[in-house]
Amino acid sequence: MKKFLILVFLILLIVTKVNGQEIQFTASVDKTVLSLEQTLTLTFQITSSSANISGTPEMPELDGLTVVSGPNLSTSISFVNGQVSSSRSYSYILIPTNVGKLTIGSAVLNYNGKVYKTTPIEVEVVKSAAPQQPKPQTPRTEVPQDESSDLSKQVFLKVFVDKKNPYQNEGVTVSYKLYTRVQVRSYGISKPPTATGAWIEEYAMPQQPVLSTEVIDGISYQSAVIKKLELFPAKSGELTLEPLVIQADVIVRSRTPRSFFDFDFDSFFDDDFFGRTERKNLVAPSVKLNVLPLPEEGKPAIFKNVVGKFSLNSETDRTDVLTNEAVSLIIKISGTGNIKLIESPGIKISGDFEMYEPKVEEKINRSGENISGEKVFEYVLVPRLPGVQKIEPIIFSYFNPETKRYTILTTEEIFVNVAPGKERLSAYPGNLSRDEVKLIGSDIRFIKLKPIQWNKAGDRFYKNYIFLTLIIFPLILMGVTIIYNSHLEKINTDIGYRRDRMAVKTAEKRLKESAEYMKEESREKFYLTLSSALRGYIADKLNISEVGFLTDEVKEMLENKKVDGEISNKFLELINTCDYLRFAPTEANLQDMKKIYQESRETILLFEKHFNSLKIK
Amino acid sequence: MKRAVLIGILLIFDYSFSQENVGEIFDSANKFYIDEKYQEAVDEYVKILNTGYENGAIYFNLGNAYYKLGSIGKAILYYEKAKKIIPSDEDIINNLNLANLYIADKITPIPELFYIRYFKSFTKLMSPNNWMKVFLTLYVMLCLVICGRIIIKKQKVKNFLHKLIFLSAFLTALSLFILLYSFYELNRHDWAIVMSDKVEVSSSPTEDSTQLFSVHEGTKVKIKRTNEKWIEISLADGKVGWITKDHIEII
Repeated sequence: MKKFLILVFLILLIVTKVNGQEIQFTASVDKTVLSLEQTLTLTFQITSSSANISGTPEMPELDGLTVVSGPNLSTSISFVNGQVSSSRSYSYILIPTNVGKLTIGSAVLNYNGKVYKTTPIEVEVVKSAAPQQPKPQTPRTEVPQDESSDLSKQVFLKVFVDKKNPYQNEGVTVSYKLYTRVQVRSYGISKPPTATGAWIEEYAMPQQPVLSTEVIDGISYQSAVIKKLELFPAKSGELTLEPLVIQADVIVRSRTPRSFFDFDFDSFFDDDFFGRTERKNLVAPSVKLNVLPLPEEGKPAIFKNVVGKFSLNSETDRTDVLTNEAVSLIIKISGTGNIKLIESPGIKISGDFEMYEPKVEEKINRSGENISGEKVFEYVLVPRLPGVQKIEPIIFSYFNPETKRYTILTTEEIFVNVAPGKERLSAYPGNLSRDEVKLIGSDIRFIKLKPIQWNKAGDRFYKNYIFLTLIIFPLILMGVTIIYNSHLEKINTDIGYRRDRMAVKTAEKRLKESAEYMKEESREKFYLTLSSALRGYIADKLNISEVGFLTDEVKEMLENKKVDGEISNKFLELINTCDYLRFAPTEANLQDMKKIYQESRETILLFEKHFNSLKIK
Repeated sequence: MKRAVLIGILLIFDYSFSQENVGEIFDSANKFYIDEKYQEAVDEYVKILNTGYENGAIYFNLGNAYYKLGSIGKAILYYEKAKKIIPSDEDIINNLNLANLYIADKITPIPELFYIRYFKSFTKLMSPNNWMKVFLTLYVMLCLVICGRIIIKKQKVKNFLHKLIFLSAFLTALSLFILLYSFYELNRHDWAIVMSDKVEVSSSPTEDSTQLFSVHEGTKVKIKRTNEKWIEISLADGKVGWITKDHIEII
């Protein structure tokens, strides 16, 4: 009775009354004593004289209580005698997690710069009624007065964790099992389990829970796994999985056998022929895990937080391709573990390929024993140059928590035969860096075995004898040609020149003729030809007519030409001698003829030499 | 007396280094190379170079041997030397390009005017020695044509030879120009290869000057001027700075 009064008092309690602003901020609970399987409704109410209320209250600290649902907001505005008053209430449904006296702290509301606080509320959580000894076939009258208080024994949740000390990123299977001895009509999850610092992968559950019978402490229960999840802790250290809360409608048998007279309306609709339906909150306890860090020892550089057990496979859709045709390289990583965290292991190819961002596909199988699946990376490669192109082995590393070792998987290298396509490549891919080109570069060309020639270092080409000869000789040849040509031309055009040049030749001809006559010993003819040779020669030289040859005139001309007097005199004398001897009455003297022939021959040559030397001067 | 004998022996020895001997050393060096004894091959090739004989093949082979030994700077140096003598050789260009891939510096050269580029690549169609042969052939032909033009009197032939003179005179002049240019290039020694792994290039020829940039082994630099042990270099992209002489070797 006392408790009831306190309850009423609390509901009506006005915690704060503010002057002026007319705002009231109160907190209330629907009961102050409750058992573990009951829920508690906590309501914060803001009442104001004005129509608009803003601001939400801050939740107080709740020790030993967990919010199952809320806040549920309800607003009401009323006009009473022309006065407006509005109220807003935030209600939360809480469930206790601990037994004992609990305190709901002050909620805080900031309104118009003022801070309003509620007074703390004390709540007592008690254990449900004393445990009942299972009694075989107790008479109906002895059925416990309040079966609902005993429900915690009849229906409860249990949580199973496959390992308490998982490694970071290792999957932990958590399953929630519902045990019941009563009929559960339906249930709904009002608060799924959550954990900070971990991600949760839920298993697919069958539509209808699979029921099985289990015996705990000699009592047989119907059990069903109602939720199963895989927990992947993201960091090492302590990890808490918050409790799961479900709301179940259970059917409770009537507490008392009813007589017909006992009939009352209220309980009739409640009855459901066999019992009444009671809504119950069931809480699975929270789970504490101690997450171990991954060992540093033997950690490969390429390790990227993948934990589990995997296999690696890579293949191309074809190995013979034309240039500029696409090839797809498929890398498949399959197994159990944190598949979502798998990143592409990356591929190494020569710069002859154009590579595009991979297409990533993820398939996760949630219905099996473990969370398994595969991740597929599909790279599209376009070869730009023909030839046999190599795709380097793909390396992938994961940590196997069973063996507690890091495993490195590699694939075989793949060769792609690229044949030249129809269209020639317009340009070498311009974005190649030097390093990429290096891969293409084959070995250097072989040495030269037979040198053409050896030169002395620093040799100049103009010091080469062959060069110099070949330069000078044509010049000489050209000079000679020019001189010879001008000579020929003069002979053809200039009579004087021709006579001058031909003088010796003509004279010699005549001398030869005279020599013939000398042999014949015909004196007259000999001297005639000899004289004409001499006269002809001098006439040629002076370019005068041979006919009408006057000795004095010739002498004068020779003097003009500055011919040595002695030679000219000798020459003219010789002509005179010839003329004289021709008509001389003396007998022909072979001796004299020979002598004069020799003399005139020598004189002509002497004169020629002298005359030419004069010309040069 | 001893000295005289020594000099005498040296003279005989030197004399005996005729071309045939050089050829023998060359063959033995090649054999070392084929047997993959690259260091021995290098020693033999260097022995030949010390006698004063050279040609494009020996520089090329020496470059190859250094390449195989992994000294990229030296390999590039000798490929460049070989390229100077026989610029048209494809093997040299191929291997030089390959060796250049190992250079850490990535220099984008300033492009030259197109006609200069065309002219340069035209002069590199043949080695300077071959250009000399071309020039001599054209020159002798020109002289003969001139002589023929003087002597021959037939008007028709004369007219034809007249045209031929102009043509061959033009070609001779052109080949002479190219010949002189290519020999000028051959005897230019203002390019060098960086031999040290990494050289900091300073702004002025002093020890404590600002470091402008760094060049790495194998990079080709142009020598602009020298100042005692310092050399002013410029890169193909136009960067200019000073380094000490011991870091580079002149091509």
